[in-house]
Amino acid sequence: MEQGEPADGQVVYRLREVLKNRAKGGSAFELCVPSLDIGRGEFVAIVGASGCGKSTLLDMLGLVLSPSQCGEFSLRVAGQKHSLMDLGEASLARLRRAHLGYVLQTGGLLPFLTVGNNVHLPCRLNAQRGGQLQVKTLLERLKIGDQAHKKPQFLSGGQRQRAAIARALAHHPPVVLADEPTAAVDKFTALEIRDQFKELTANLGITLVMVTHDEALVSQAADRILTFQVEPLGPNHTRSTLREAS
Amino acid sequence: MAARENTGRALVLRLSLADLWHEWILSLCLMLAVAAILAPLLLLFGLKHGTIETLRYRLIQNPVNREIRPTISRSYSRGWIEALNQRPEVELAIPNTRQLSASVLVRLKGGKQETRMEIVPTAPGDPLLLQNQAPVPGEGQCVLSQEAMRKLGAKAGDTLVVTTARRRQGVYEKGVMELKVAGVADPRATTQGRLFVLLPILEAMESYKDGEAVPRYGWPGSLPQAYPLYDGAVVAGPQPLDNTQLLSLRINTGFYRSQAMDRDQLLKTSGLSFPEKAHTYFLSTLGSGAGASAGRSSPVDEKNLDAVRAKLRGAEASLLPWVAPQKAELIGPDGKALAQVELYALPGGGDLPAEARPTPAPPWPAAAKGQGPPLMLMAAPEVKAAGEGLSLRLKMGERELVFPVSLTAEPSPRAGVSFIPPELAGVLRLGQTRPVRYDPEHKQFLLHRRGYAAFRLYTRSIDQVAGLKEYFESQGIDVHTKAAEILQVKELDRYLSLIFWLIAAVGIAGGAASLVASLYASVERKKRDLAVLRLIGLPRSSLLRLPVYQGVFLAGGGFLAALGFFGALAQTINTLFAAHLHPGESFCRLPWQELAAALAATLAVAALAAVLAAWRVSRIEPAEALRDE
Repeated sequence: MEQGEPADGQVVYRLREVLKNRAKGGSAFELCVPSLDIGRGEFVAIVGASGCGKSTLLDMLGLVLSPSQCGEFSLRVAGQKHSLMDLGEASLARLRRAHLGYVLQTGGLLPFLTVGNNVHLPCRLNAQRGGQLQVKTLLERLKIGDQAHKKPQFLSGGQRQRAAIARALAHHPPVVLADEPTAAVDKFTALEIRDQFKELTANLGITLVMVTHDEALVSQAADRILTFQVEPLGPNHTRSTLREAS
Repeated sequence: MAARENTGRALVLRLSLADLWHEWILSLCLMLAVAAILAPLLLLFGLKHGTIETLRYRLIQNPVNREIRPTISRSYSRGWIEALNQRPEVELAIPNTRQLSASVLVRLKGGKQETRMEIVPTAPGDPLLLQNQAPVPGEGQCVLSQEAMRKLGAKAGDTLVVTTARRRQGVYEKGVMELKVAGVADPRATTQGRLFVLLPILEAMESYKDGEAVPRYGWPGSLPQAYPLYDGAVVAGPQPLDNTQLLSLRINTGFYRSQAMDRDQLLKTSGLSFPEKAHTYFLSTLGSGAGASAGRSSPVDEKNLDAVRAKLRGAEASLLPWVAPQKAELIGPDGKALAQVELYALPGGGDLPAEARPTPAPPWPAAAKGQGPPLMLMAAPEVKAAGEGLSLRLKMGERELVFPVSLTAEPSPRAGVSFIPPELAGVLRLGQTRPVRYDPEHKQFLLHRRGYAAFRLYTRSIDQVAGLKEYFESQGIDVHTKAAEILQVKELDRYLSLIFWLIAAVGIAGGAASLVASLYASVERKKRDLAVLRLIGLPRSSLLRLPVYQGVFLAGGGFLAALGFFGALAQTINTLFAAHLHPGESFCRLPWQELAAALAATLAVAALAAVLAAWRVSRIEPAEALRDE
């Protein structure tokens, strides 16, 4: 387990004084990130009960939600640092397309494409050549090579999540974000998926940020574990502050 | 960058189609929903185009409704009718002869039954025939009306024997020709028994009825000789006429006024110089007078002169016909104009005693009966011309009359006054009122066709009838039109169109709403997939394209299906009602332009609906769409 601040060139995400306000059903929620650096190749787990803001943080890291307020919010990929608050919708989409992989709770595979085509899609979006072979290898390493021609609806939950992982990795992004990737599968499969995920990202030098409510699942595997301190500010007002888990 | 954008476009298209194919049952349902909206609309438009347009066209474009005919027969010159044909609103104006000339006896060749029938002249492009399923007949052909066909028992291809009858000098004569039936016109052209032929055939019949020969059909007859007309006359004698006698000269003689005129005045008017002892009077016609030649004048002819002569019997006075001086050009053998001359009639006063006889005396013989007048000119003294091959040219309105003359040995004694025989002057005077031509073969002046008693005119559209009617009325020609019927038809047409558009508007609005709803719901259903695509980096512009492609594809498929339904139904309807249709008409049909417009409108509505839905969906934060389990 690596401790302490990574060197500046190795920092992928840098967040300073990031604040996100959300109002939902008459109650206000405030997510506060005083300081967060995520280094290259790190496996960072974000753990917390539901409603503590972990998905909100992941969406911000995934560039689909922008902070309400921030000191610094930057992403360094391909040797270039992007100040995310300054970028427009199209630039953010380009960054997402080229540099981010995303695994959703229920996979997020497109139902109308075969597993193979789903996994190949990011390569196609990035106009990468020779993606097919890469996809095949990836699926075989995830032990679902024989499912490539099937539509996602015919796969089991575990297979679907593996396919989702494959899709997140297919175009070799420097960063992969996973939102409860094992929430919908049994414990044993969850562990298996976690190990395969960790192994693949470590081998490829990919930064992995995983959100989960299951601390036990990541306590041994993750490089760092982040959690939230939730404090009520008023009758209908909660503040959640990110901190390193002890 | 451009290459990547292109890849993106192709990729989005493939994703759209893959999605539609994945949910093919739903896609089919949507297409059928679109088809269910479009098919009745297409059918409605098809029926509007077929039935309503056909009926409307039959009503509006029926040539009978666009016809204009003069109510009274008058002489309309060919040039005047030609000018009508040049007017932009006139489709065709066809000259017509006198009603009487057009009545003939017709029988089927080999048959016995003769039927009296009216002949109507036609011309190439005659809408009355062409729009009633009949061709325009050629030379030696005719087209029958339905009723004529029934009466004669004839059909296309049969030969008819057409007999024109006349009485000439108390003898009943027949001119016979054969005409081949080229076609039969629909009953809507006319309900009467009619025979349509080209105008020259009818002209020949009219000439024959007038007693003239028609060499083309081997019909004998006389030549239409031109006859002289006079503007007045001089009465001269050694004794004066009393007032009663003078008055009687203008009673039932065609003359309008009779009065004494002195020598000087007569010299000026007629170029004749009378001795002092002569008593001279001048008979003038209505509108004549010194110098009057055109306009509303009513010249007199030989019969009128004879009537005066009869009244003068017993009195020692002679009648000298007078024609108002006419300007002409003397032309040399080379066709060049030699001089301008003013032509005066020079009658002989041979039966007058010497003390009342005018000078100069005519140096030519009197015109023989049945022959033309001698073509001689006693030129004014200043005219420098001599020899053979001379001719005179007169301008008569738009026409010209040219004929050869020979000069008399003695010139005219008076400057500016050239004399010609009175009969010649009279014939030239006739040429001012109706076409006369010099026929070198018979060495005579012959009457040309005077003009046409009537005409039949079609405007290009029903809307132009009223305007043209006004034009004719401003020209003093009362015409017969179907203006009242046209007004009714137009009103009916307006209401029919209004009702159609009301129905169509409701149909179109409902159809568009339904199309929008179907596609909107389909996009809403795909919210999550769209959010996933957005998450993995598909730009928003591409994301919006995806449902647009799908909407266009679904609407296009629906349109094709609707087209299939429409085609099958239209075919069925047209087959069912085939008996009520003319060739080329259909009860239900859509021209390709309308189909293309309908397709374009459908696709546009579909794309708009899809883009609206997609735009709304893309406004939702992906976070919400993704976790909306």
